[in-house]
Parts: sequence; C-alpha cells; structure tokens
Amino acid sequence: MTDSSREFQGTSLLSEKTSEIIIDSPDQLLPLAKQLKDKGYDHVISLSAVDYPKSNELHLVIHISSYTKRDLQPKVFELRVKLKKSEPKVPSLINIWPSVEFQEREAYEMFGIVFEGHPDLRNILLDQEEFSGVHPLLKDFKIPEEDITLKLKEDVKSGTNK
Amino acid sequence: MEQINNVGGFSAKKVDDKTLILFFGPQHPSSGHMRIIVKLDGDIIVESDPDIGYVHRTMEKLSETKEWIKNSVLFERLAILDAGNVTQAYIIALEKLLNVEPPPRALYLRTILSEINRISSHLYGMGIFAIMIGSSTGYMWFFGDREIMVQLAERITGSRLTHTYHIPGGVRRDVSNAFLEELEKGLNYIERRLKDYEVMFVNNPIIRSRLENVGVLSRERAIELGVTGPNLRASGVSYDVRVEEPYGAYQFVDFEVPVYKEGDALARTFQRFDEIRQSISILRQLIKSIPEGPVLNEKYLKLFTKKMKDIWDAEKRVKFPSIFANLRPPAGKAYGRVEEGRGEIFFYLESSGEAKPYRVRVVTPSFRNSILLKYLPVGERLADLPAIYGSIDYFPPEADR
Repeated sequence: MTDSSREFQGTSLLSEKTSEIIIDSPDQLLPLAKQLKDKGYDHVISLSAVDYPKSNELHLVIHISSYTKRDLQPKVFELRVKLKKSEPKVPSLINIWPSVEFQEREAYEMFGIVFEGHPDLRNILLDQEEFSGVHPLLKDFKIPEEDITLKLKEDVKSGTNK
Repeated sequence: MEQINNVGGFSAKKVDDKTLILFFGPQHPSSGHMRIIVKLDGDIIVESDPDIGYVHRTMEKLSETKEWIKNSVLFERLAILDAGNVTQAYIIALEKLLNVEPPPRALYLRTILSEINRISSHLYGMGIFAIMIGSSTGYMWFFGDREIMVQLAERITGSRLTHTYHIPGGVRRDVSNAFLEELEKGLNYIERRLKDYEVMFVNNPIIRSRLENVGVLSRERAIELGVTGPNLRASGVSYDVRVEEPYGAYQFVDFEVPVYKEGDALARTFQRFDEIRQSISILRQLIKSIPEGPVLNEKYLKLFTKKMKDIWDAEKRVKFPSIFANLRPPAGKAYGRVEEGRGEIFFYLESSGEAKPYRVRVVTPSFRNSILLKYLPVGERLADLPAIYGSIDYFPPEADR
C-alpha cells in the first residue's frame, strides 16, 4: 500500500454508517475502493456518470454491493468522484472489481472519461468511428434531428394537403 | 496476410495456419442482434470478444427528454418479455423520490404480475435456448406454453407484453376473483408441463451431453465478474433481490431461492426450472391471501373527479389524475432494484425538481451478464458456443438499452 492510502485511512471516512461518499480527487479512489472491497463490497452494480455543466463538473457515480456478506449495511453503497470536465481522468477499478470492465467502457464512450490502466478501453455500444470524440450523455450533446418537413397546419385545414 | 474468407456462411480472417478469427453474427449468431468475434485454434476458442450495441436505443439520453410518467412507457421496452419487472424497478425509484407508497392490494397485484412475467420470461429463454441447441420440440413447447402466461398477463393489464401496469402509488387496474381462478388453472397446467419438460428436455440424453460440464462458471469467478440472476445462483451464490431488499408482496410469502453449485450450462437450465416452481408456489400463496382494498394511494384517489370515480366503480380501472402528466419530484436521487427473470435490474434516478429527469441510469441483468460472453467461451469448442450463449439467457435489446 502506498503512503497516500495510509493517510487516507486516517480520515476514516468509512467508520460511520454512511451510505455514500463523495471524494474530490481521483487519487483517493483506489485506496478507498480497496477499503470498501475489504469491508465486503465484492461487486459493482453500476458505474456511470452525471454531468453538471453549471459547476463544470462530471461526477463518476459507482454503486457497489455484496454477494458474500449479506448482512452488510447499507446494501447498496454509493461512491462519487468529482472530476474536472476539461480532463476527466480516473484510475481504472478493474483490478479491484473486475465486474466494472464493460461499464467503464460504457462510461468512456458516453462521457469521455478516461480510465487509466483499463486493458481494453474502447467503445462498447456505440460505433467506434461515428462516435470517436463525441460523448452523447454529456448535457451539451445535441441530438441530431432528421430533416423531415411536415405540411403546415393551415394547408391541412384549407384542403391543400394533397 | 489477412484475408477475409467465407466459412460456412460466416466471415472469417485467417491469422496463420493454426489460428482463425471468426465473426459470429450479428445476424442471429443464435438469437438476437449481437456479434461474437472468436479466435479459434482448430475448433477451440482461444479468445472471445462480444460486440454488442446493435440494438442500442439511447434510452438513458432519451429519458432526459420525456416527462417522468412517459419514461415508464419507454423503459418497459428494455425487455418487453419481462416488462412488468422492468417498469416496477423504475416506479419503485420514482416512488422513493415522490415519497408515496402503494396500498397492500396494489403490492400483491404487482407481485402477481412479476411472477407471471418471470415464468413467461424463463419459458421464452428456454425456448430460444432449445432451438439454439437443435431441440425444435423444446422451442415449440416452451413458446406454446408461454402463451398461457402472456394471456394471463393480458387479463390483468390489458396488454400482452408492454403492460404499463405500474404507476406511482399503485397499479392501473384491479382484477376480479374470476381472474384468480383462471390463474390457478394456468398454474396447474404449467406445473403438469414441468414434468413433461423434464422427460423431453432436461433429462434427454442428447441435451444433457450438450450441456453437462459446458461453460462452467465457478463461484469465485461469478462473484468477481458481478454476474447476476439465475446465472449467479447456478454457480452457488444464494442472492436474490426479492430476499435482500424485499419489495412488492414478497415479504408476505414464503419461498426458497434455489441454488446449484455446478455452474455449468445444465445447472443454469435446472435453475430456471426450479425458479418456475418457486414462482408457481408464490403465486398460489398470493391468490389465497390477496387483501381487498384500493389499488392506488389515497393521495391520488382524493384527486379523482366524479367521472373518474364512476369509471373506477364500473370497470375497476384507474384513470390518471391530471397531476400525473406533470409530476415534479423534489430534487434528489433514488435507486430502485428488482429481481427480473434474468437477474437484478437497477435504476438510479436524479431529479432536479423539473418535469423531466435530470439523469436516469439503468443497468440491466443482460448487460451485467454480457461479460460472460467474453470469459466463458474461452477454452471451449466452437460447437459449444450456442449452448453457452443460450444457457446464460442473454437478451440483446435489454443489454444494449
């Protein structure tokens, strides 16, 4: 374990009966994830993000749970990491929870979050060429509209809609 | 030199004299729209890369453009063969945001629909599975019998597949006692047929030799990969959202969570049959103990106009109070999880107090299980790929969302 993780344990964020933790720096993620895994949270239900353009932040939101320790409370734990929108980079959790593999790929294509250390970071649902550098779940993504022109209401009324 | 050849209808790339890359799909590798790119040494799979997303319908993005109530209609299209369970997870999360709870009779009705859906979803999965491994009798039987469950769901909700039955604070329609008798009849039929399935399908020597010790998923690996639903339980992990976080009427009934420790394709098949048996038992308990009463929360019943009350009295059908068109849950977040036929479905909602959601995250069981298509086929023979694929009951539209 590195020095930074030892420091982090000192803050003992996990000692209370919290159901969620928000961390400001991606560096804290791995040590915290390791602690949660040791506590019994053995798999990831959901890994995704929420875009907050007003504060110029991107939150990585991870929901974890446990198959093996069934009395663990809370059943679903929420882990949030604040990321800078200009450079959304975070270490990959794949070595701690292998179950994130496909979900990290999804967060990468949908939000442009780069997971450092992911062995196979490429699009999973979206076409690699069409969506390279385009991240549809960001709030500023405009959904392209089909160019279909319907006749005006007035034309329909006056019977010119032939 | 890389050359694309046509091998038995599939595209293939020759890497060297020993290795071949085979593009399996996306036109129905066995079922559904996805492709598996497999690297073969002889007929042994050395690498497998599931290429999913062919039926991605941008549901999470789309939901941000629709009102809260309209999204329930959107999300049930994730898996129309199991629509009741999918909608229920979304509505549970929405109810947490709105802080309303359904009355007891509505909880029972929800659970009745959930279990009917579970049986029909398992029969659908088994039917597709049967045709994948060449048992066309199985396909006919499972699909034919599924029809009974689909029609029972139609009797409750008015629709065969996309029920839109759950609304915040309750359900849309009540059922009569005559329906409960019909349900009992349907359950007796399925129970009788389960014995026929055993003879014709699971204990059939051909089926067994194709499934036994194929695609073995160990307990440790299942936990590590976050596999969910019957696939997890067939690998020896007793975990079911109906037990972990009871919703609906599950707290009022007794049932077991079947578990197998072998983790092979055969165990996953047994698992689904055992779950159908449990569902039948749950449904029978619910039929006996369903309480009388309203099916919608007081809060909304108070808003009923005279005409809406008349329709309710005459047809036992809920007309939406106008408030539903413009629901504005207070700012906040909530999650909802439900044990679907194929495993746990998880909704995470974030509201900013507007008429439309700020963010909806949905993780479906098929998406979580899709990782199996990368790791499970490795080391197996190409001929076993359909058996592995079919045994995990993967449903592409649900995975792609």
